[in-house]
Amino acid sequence: MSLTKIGLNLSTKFGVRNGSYLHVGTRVRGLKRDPVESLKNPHGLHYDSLVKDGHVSTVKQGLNLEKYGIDLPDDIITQCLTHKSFAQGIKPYNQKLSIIGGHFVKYQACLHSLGLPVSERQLSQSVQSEPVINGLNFGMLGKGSSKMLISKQSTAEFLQRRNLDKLVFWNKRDTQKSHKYNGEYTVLQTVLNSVVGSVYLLHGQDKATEYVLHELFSDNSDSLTKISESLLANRDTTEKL
Amino acid sequence: MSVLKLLNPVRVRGFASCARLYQSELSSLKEYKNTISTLLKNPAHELTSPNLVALHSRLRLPQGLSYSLLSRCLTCRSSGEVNYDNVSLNIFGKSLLTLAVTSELMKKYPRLPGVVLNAAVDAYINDHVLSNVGRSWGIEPETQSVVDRYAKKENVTITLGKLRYFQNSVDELHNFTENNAMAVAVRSIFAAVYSVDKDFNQTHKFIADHILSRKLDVKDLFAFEQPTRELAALCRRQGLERPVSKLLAENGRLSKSPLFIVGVFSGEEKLGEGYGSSLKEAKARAATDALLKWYCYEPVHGQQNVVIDQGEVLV
Amino acid sequence: MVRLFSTSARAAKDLSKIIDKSGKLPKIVGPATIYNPKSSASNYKGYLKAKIPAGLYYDPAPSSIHGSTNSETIPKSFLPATDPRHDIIDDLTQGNAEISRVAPVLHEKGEKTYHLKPEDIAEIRRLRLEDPVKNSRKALAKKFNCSPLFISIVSEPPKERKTEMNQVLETIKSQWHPKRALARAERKKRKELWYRA
Repeated sequence: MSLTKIGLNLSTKFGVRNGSYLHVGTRVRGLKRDPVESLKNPHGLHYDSLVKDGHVSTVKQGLNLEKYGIDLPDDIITQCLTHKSFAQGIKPYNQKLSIIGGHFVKYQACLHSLGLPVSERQLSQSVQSEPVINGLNFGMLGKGSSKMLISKQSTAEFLQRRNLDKLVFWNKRDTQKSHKYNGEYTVLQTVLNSVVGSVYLLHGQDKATEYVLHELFSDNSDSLTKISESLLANRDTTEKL
Repeated sequence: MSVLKLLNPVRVRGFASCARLYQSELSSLKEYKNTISTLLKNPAHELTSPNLVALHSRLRLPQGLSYSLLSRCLTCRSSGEVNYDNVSLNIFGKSLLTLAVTSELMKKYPRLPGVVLNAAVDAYINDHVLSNVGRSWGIEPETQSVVDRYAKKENVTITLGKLRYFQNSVDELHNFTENNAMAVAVRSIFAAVYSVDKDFNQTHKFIADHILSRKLDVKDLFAFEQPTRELAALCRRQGLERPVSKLLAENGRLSKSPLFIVGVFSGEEKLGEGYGSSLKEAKARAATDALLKWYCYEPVHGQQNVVIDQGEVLV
Repeated sequence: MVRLFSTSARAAKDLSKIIDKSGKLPKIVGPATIYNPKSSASNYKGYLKAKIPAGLYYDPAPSSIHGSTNSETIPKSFLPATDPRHDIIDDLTQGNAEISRVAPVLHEKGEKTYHLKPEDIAEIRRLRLEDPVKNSRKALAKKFNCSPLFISIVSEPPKERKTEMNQVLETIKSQWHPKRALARAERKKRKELWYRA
């Protein structure tokens, strides 16, 4: 009884505020949102369910990490799947992993194109040129096909074919607008790059090279090489039409 | 290559006298120019340019790197050399350098914010820095036109050891300056080093010697906007107590030049300290200091576990 | 600080013999000079060399930790769990806890509360648009028991009010003496340096 009385007294004297209110529904500027609501990705998946419902192992399987003996901790996988735009950055996000991973993938793509045999087209184009230096084919660097290999479209397609795009946590600029306006492909590219980046940092360069060569640049139908080839073919036909 | 282009008045002094060149002179000038191209493009023919030999031994380049390849590294596309330039070498060299520098910086400072990390990488390998590296290597730019060199009867191997980036006129260069050309050449040399033994670790050592050995203070790259808010957000994220600024010392509060020292504490632990001639300034500096201590964290050399950062605080 | 060793000769030798790993770091009381801390004015021999036992001492410079990011000054809670420096940092920052208890706090702040509802926010917006002169930030903050900053986050004054106030500010600025204008510009530049290392 006396306790409630004190409480009442205090509330009159200092204006004790009522219990805190966490906002649910459309965003109102200045109000703190309920984490249950705000920690959901565009597909309605909650951040906590990633580890709880075993989605992390789905990701590991989808990316074939075990095949190469790569064991990434769950929290790193979760970080790789989280984009900087998600929940105002309160959860660990993949920005820097994707920076280093992106540079590594770019480097590997260069090596990949250096290892290609000299094509007919190249020979016909350059009359006297000497594209091969010390056994490396420098002629294809910076050309359309080697750019397409690691382009946003190819990497996005790579993840979409493995059904991983629904597990990515990010925030749309405008839910009504197209994926192009929201930059979905860029977000998906950071995810793949950050996976490579964390393999590079945690397991060293050799493992990362093995993973990129055999998973990303292999001859599988779901690899970046095949995807980029089909994308290029599509583009050529549309241009002709 | 038309004769008119060779005799572009922008570069050639004494245009009137040049116009009176005899036909035989012109054909031998063309021949002079062709000799340069054939000499460059023929890898079997051993180039013995004094500049190339000096550069090769000065940089202690691997034996497998031929003088012809080194000369190709110094030949930019803008020099007009058809299909035998350093463009593709430059692309690969850039990707090599970026990877090596980024991974080194991320290992040294795992918590740098993305923007600062990119700025730091740029501070190591931007065109301006690389052109300085090139100059310190003793690469000389070719500043004379073909006609000038022909008139002087200069040995053709001399120009092949120089940075060749313009043809005859300056107006064809657009935005491609000497600095850009020098940087392109330096990047190409890194790519050429890789092409010899195809070993990233060897090339990394070469990069470490010439690029990573340069000093960079990453603290200078930071400029915060709201350090107190950012520090509060950081503490909330890391599960630390809310940061509180406390006055540690002061001098001459009512004088013309007061001095305050403020520490920012989380619980009983001091996160940072700042000075200033007003309490506001000292408080802002203390928060800045604490944030720098967080972002510029360096793991001990040889630390077992790799630190993977969760990203900078967003406010 | 290394005391009483001719360093040039010692530098090449193994320092691990000199460093005492047995327990805590030895500390020097008083200023760490080689001279006697006591006044030598009454001493007929002049100054005396201090008798500090040989060894390696931790003797930080008596300067602010501002701007340094080394192992001596990094807070313990900023270290990741795997960092091997966890154990020594406590030893280096012993005095801080005591200081934090006695140092006066600059601004006392209450805990954050999230007591306003969307209806309240709508009300704040309506009032501010209705009569921005009467319902200023300060007045609304008092009425809704929050900070003026919060009012400016959730609501905006009408456009006419904004332009009017900006015009007033411009007129005031245009009447400044050139010296004052220069001083203000310099102050702005100096303030940018607060946020840099």
